[in-house]
Amino acid sequence: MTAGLVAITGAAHGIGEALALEAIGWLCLTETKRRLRDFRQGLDQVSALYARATLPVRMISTV
Amino acid sequence: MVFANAGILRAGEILDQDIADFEQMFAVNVSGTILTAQALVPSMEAQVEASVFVVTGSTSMLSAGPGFGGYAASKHALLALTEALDAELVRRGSSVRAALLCPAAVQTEIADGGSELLDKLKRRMATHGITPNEMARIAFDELANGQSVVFSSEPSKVVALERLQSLLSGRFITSTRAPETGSR
Repeated sequence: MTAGLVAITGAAHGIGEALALEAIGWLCLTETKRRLRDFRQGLDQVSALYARATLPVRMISTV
Repeated sequence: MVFANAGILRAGEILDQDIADFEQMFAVNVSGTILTAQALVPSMEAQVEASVFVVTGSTSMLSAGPGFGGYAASKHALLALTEALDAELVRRGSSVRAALLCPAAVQTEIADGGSELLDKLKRRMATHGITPNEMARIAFDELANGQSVVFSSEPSKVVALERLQSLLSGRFITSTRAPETGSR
């Protein structure tokens, strides 16, 4: 299993927060800037969807 | 790698619970997961490396009990969605696979809310649950071993098996148990 980037929804607390901490050990930053940009655009889309619904969740990406 | 982990819990008996609670749980737990997949899987497929779209389910996707029907229904939906998503990814030759976490009791804040049902669940989580860090470690270890479905404990597999056996024998597992309260 490789993990260039890890995105986690619901990472503010609980399992999501723990997954984020655990993920740091798995990250190997081999992504190109283009891929990173595309990925972040995807994250922005999802974040916007959650924000629009005013739901008690937020997203972080650990890069 | 993406973890579609956001989820909420609203407890209540089906005949009494506000429909808004069901709708909010399905919006976050189910629609949120679908939207996350739709937004991020294409970017994951564009990467050179294989990756995994991991959905946080629950043992509630393999069982259902009083007071948590809506939550269990949303988690049952995640089992079906994740299984179907993985099949679709395989069929199109994708480098991405779907996987499912199946945590039993984990000591998180999901049961904070002040109701009697939630307080009871929270006490059970405190006495029987594992920590979020333990769950995360199990998740990464099992995913690294190629597991697509990750359980946090062996007893939860037994519960799931008993439930399936009961259904296949034509009965709900709850019909063989005495009710906890006799109010209804």
